[in-house]
Amino acid sequence: MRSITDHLQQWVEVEGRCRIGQICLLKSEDGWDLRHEEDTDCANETLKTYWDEMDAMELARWDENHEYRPLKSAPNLARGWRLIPADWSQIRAALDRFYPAALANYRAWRCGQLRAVTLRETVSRQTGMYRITGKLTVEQADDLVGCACEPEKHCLRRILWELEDGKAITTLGEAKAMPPGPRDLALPLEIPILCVEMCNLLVAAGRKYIKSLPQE
Amino acid sequence: MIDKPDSALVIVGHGSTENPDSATPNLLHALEIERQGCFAEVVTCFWKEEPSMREVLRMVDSREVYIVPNFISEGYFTQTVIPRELELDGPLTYKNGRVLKYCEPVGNHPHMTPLLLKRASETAPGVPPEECSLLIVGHGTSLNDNSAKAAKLQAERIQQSTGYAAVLNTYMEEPPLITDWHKITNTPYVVVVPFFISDGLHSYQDIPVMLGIESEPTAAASQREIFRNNPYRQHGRELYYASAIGTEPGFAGLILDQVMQFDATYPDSVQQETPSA
Repeated sequence: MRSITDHLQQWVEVEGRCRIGQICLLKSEDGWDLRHEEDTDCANETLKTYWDEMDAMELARWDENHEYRPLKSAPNLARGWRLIPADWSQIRAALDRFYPAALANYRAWRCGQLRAVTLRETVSRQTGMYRITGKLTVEQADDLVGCACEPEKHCLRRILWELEDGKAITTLGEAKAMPPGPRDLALPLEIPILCVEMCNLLVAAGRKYIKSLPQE
Repeated sequence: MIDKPDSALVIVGHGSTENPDSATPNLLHALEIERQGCFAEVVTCFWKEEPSMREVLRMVDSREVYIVPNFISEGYFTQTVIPRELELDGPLTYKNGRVLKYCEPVGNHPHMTPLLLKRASETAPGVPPEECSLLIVGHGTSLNDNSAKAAKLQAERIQQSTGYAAVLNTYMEEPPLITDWHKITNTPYVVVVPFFISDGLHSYQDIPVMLGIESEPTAAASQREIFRNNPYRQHGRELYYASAIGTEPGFAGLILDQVMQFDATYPDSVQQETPSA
């Protein structure tokens, strides 16, 4: 399989995909310029300049109020910076800090090598304090996901999985799903951040959800 | 010296949704190992942060993948959660044309002991050991006693080999409790080294309250302008509180040692063609 870095270069330079999450990639005299999507019209000198994946790690760690961002696909990336990595391997490394595993997931999806895991499968394998999430019904899971995964407040990932086989999520809109059709034509201007299965944050939210229900 | 230009290293950590410093040691150790050029690829993954264990194997292309848990001991995570999430069959897993090699956690490594001693002496320079008690503080938990055993083992090893007046293993959640530090020691100097991977919730925020050097949990380390102010004068003693042992730069070496230990334990798995899945 071609490397993720090679794929990334093709997606951006050949296919014209210039957005990932809240980040835009702009062609500039410095090479490629990564910045917040709301800063694309800002003059370079108005933005603080950064260079590499260590900088990306710090930019991804905090929101604009210097509050911790445990979920990197949350819609609260701070503005006011531009990052100009030296080459494609460093662009890949920086994007891996901003959106960990996003490029890897997208490559696997484009190559038809990604298996989405249903919510039921994920909760069924939990042990210890999270074992209780196995009690979520389809309706409760749908409600939970609708609240906890909402893109404008919580997470930008596009969900590939169902609640159970044949039971799709009904509580989230188009912005949380991948459109149908050929994969290389989907969302032509962006590299989508895919959600391949329920994450541990959602599992933890599921535990709270179950525990908040009236006890039988 | 490790030279594996066709292999990947995956370092597994816990991470935190509340503390921004929990993942930092894992990331720094990975960057150090990457700088040394030992592997084709070096990545980290976490239970509570991204990338998750469920995604990390898609990030590497190498056919041989070493997985090292950056955990202080064997326990629930290394024996149950990590093998489950990474779909491991044991120390060796053959899957999708690659071999996954699951190493022992760093906390098991015998070189942990000199690192603890180094951390203690750097935290309390000039303090005469014969007048000092060294306390190793671990989590302790009723779920799995391996984490408590690991701290106890370190205390025993240190007691045998150094001139400290006393070396004790203490815990947050089981006796001997770290909150009783002033009752279980009688020396004028006390140095406490957290047996934790990072300066996260427990070692930076909870234990200082238990020691009495903070009245309530503070902000995370990276969100404070001032770090520790050793020594603290408490109960008529001088108390020195170290950073978590997992922040010691030598930890990168322990991670690499666990890879070498795996190869020594499973010599037949080295540089073999992987069976097809």
